[in-house]
Amino acid sequence: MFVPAGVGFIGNLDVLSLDWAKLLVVLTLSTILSMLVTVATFITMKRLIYRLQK
Amino acid sequence: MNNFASLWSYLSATPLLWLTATIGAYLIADNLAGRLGNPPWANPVLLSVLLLSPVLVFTNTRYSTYFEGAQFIHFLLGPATVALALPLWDNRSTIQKSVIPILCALVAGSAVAAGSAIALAQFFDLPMSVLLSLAPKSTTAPVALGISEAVSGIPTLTAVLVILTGIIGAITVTPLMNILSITDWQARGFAVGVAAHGIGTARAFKVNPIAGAYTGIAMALNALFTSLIVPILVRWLT
Repeated sequence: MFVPAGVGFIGNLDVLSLDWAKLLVVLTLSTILSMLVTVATFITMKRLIYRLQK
Repeated sequence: MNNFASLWSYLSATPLLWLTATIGAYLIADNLAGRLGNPPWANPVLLSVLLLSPVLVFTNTRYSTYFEGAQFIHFLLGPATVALALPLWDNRSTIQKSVIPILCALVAGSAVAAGSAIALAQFFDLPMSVLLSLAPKSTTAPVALGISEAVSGIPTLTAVLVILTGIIGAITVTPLMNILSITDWQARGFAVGVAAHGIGTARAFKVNPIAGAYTGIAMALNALFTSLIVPILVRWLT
């Protein structure tokens, strides 16, 4: 289903050929950062609730 | 051979050609990924795009011509978005049990996913249109395209960035969580769902079923929450 939209990258070759390295860095850092924050928040809240319930 | 030529002339005159090509490319890509043992980097969507794009370039086909045929598949994204509600309904008892961790992690994770993308894009001096297209990158594709359009980004660029984000998340999640020795499958699953949508979800289901269920929940909630915060973040941070 996402293939037609993905093929649209050929219309953005100018942007991608210019900034592909920056984009990869942004995507990688942002994705890892977001996973770390999510997992930390989830575990912290779970422990907090567990402690409050005791 | 004559038959083939007449079939080709028929197909190339109708939108059916690119519809067929898209489905064909996906079948080849899926088969290829399966043979490689479905590693996270060999994503069938990405492989299909890589197969189709040179064909379009070499046959000098404009994207608008291609899209005339492929729009029948693209149209299915609408119903697919509605189907996002399904994992929420299926897991309603699980969600009720850990509603506070889920909501807190969702708010923090979504905000970081979109906010850090905007901040990093500014840091690297990327053009405004690229920044706007980056903001919804952690959301599932149909919703991300809608957000991108709403904040005047480039939806087709967003589509590529969304797929790449999913692949990056799927590749990095297992090593990252193992290094940090996080063994809570709910938390692991939820994190990859917030950061890396459907491709992360598919990966999580292969690693652990509990993680998979939480990824599905995270992806659906994240689609909703990101569509609320991206327009606000864009106004604040730019």
